[in-house]
Amino acid sequence: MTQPAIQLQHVKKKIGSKTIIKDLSFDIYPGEVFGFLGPNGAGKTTTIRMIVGLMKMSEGDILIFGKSIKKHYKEAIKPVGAIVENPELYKHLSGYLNLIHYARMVNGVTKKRIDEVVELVGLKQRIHEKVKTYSLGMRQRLGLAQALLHSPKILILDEPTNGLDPAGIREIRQYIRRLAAEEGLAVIVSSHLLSEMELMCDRLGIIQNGQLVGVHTVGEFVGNDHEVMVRFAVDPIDRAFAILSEHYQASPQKEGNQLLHPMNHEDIPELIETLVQNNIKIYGVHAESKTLEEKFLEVTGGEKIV
Amino acid sequence: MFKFIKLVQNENMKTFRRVSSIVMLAILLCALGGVGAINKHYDTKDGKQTWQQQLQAENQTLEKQLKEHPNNSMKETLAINTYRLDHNIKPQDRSTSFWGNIADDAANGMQLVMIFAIIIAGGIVSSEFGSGTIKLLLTRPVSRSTILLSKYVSTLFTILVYTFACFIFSCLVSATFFGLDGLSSPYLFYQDGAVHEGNMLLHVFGQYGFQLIPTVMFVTLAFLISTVFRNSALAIGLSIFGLMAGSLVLQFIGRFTWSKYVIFSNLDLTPYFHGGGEPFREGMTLGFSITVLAIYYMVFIAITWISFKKRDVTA
Ligand SMILES: Nc1ncnc2c1ncn2[C@@H]1O[C@H](COP(=O)(O)OP(=O)(O)OP(=O)(O)O)[C@@H](O)[C@H]1O
Ligand SMILES: [Mg+2]
Repeated sequence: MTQPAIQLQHVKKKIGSKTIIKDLSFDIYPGEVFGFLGPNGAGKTTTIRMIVGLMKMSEGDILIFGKSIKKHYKEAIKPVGAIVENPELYKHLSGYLNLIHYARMVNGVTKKRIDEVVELVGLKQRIHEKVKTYSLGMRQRLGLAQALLHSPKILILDEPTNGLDPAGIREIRQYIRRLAAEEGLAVIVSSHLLSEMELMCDRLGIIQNGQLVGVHTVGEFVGNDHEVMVRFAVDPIDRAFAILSEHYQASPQKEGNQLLHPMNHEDIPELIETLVQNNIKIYGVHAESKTLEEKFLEVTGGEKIV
Repeated sequence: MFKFIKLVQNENMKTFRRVSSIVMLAILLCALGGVGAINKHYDTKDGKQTWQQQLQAENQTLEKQLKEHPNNSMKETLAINTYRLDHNIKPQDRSTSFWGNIADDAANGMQLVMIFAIIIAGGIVSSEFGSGTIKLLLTRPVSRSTILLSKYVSTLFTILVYTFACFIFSCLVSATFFGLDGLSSPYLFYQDGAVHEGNMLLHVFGQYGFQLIPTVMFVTLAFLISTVFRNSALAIGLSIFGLMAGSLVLQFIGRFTWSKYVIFSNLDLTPYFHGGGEPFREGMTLGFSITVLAIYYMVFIAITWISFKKRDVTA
C-alpha cells in the first residue's frame, strides 16, 4: 500500500469544556478526491484548520506524508495548498500582486509558473486589477490559484465551488479530477453541494457532531440500494392511486399527474402488469435511485443541511 | 535569510500600497509646509535691529536677572549669546531660520510621525485577522515567529521611511521659506564652563533620535495590542491615548517615588544630555532610564510573541 498523503490519528479538539472534534481518524491517499461531508457545525472547518495548523489539536496527531504537523510544521505543510472557508485575499492589491505575495513565501515559484496558474484558473483578463473589483467567483478562482501556485501534492478546499457559476463549477470539478488522476494529488473537499460531491469525489467521509459517522466510496454510498423511487405517468391517476395503495401498505405520493412510490427494483415489472390489467394507460415509468442528499439525510438522521 | 527579506518586502508592499499610507505622507508634507508658512507670515521682523543688537539687548536683561536669581540655564544662554557676538555667528535657533525650523519639526513633525506609525503598527497584525487573510498567510512553510518578526521589522522600516520623509520635507520647507544662508552655521552648546561648536546636522539627527525612542516604544505597544486583541481600532486608540495622556499621568504620579519606574517618566532621554533640563525625578540616570525602557520593551515583545505563536486562528 502506498503511503497515505494525510493521516488523522485520534484527533481531538476541545475549546473550553466543549469537545468539538471527538477522536477523528482517517487516511487520505494520493490520487483520490476525498469529500468531507457534514451538517452545519459538524466540525469540517475545524478539522481542516487543524490539518493546516491554524488550530492546535488537543490530542492526537496529523501526519502529512508521514511528517507530523505538530512537530515538524514547516516540513509537513510544504506540499499542501489550501483554501480555508472563503478565499480572503488582499483587496487593495491586484490579483497578480497577491500571487507574487504568496510566491515569495515559498521557494521555486517562477514568474512563468504564476502566468501558468493565472491562465489555468481563467483570470488572465483581470489579473492586474485590484481584488476589490472582483466578483465572488473571481475571488474563488484567485484563491484556487494561490493554492496551486507551488504545485502542491495535497489540495485542501473548504467549499471551493461556493460562488462559482455552473460553467465554473464544472471547470473546477474537471480540473480537480484531472489533478488527482494525472498528477496523483490528494484532494480534500468540503462542500454543501451534495450533487457536486457525488460527481467530484471518490470517497466520502461523513462527520457529525465532531465524529466520523462513516467513510464510503461514492459508488457504494449512492448505488447499492435495491429500493428505488419510481415515478409513474399514468391515466387515470385516481384509479392508479387506489391500486397502488391497495397493493402496498403505504400510499404513493401524488405529484401533478404523476405518482411517486418507493419500492424494490425487482417488483417494478409486476406492478406494471397489474396496472395494465386494470386498464390504466402508462405513459412513462422512471426509476430514480436515491440521491446522495437523501442518503446523507438518512445517515445523519435528517439534520438540516444548507 | 533571503526568504526573510522577501517576507519583509511583502509586508512593505501591503503597507505602502494602501492609499491611507500615502495620504499620511501627504498630510505630513502639508502640516510641515503649513507651519512653515505661518511662521514665515507672522515673522516678527524687528527690521530696524540687527541680530547683534537683539542679542546685546537680551544679554543686558539676562545679566540683570542673573544678579537677582543665579540660574544655570540663563548663564548658559548668556555665554552662548556672547560667543555668537564674539565670533559673528548668526543665531539659528529661531523658528524662522533654516535650522531652527528643522529643529522644531524634529519635535512637532515627529509627533505626527508617531501617530501615523501607531496607526500602521496597530493594523499590521489585526487587519490580517479582520480580513481573514491570516489563514492564507499562516498556512505556508514559514513559522509563525518568522511571520511576526517580518511584520515587526516592516513596522520599524515604516517608521524610518516616515521619519526620513519628515526630515526631507522639513529641509525643503525650510529652504523654501527661510533660505539657505544659515546652512553652514555650527550648533553651539555649553559644557564644562565653556561654549563649544558642534555639527548642526548631527545635532538635528540627535533630536530625531530622541524622538525615535518614544516612537518605537508606542509602536511596539500598538503592535502588541494589535496582536493580542486582533483589533486595529483598539490598538490604535489605546496607543494614541497613551501617547496623549502620558504627560498628564506624570503630573499626577510625579510625587510618588515609584513613578520613576513608569514608562512615561523614561521616554525622554534629553535631560541626560547637555542643555536638556532636569531629569523627571532626582537620581534618575541615563542608565536607569535605558534599563527601565529595555525591560518594558522585552515584556511587550514577549507577550506579543507568545500570543501570536500559541493561539488558535479562528478568524
Ligand atoms: N472558536 C470557537 N469557539 C467555540 N466553538 C467553536 C469555535 N469554532 C467552532 N466552534 C464550534 O465547533 C463546531 C464545529 O464548527 P465548524 O466551523 O468546524 O463546522 P463546519 O462543519 O465547518 O460547519 P459549516 O458547514 O457551517 O461550515 C460548531 O459547533 C462551532 O460552534
Ligand atoms: Mg465550515
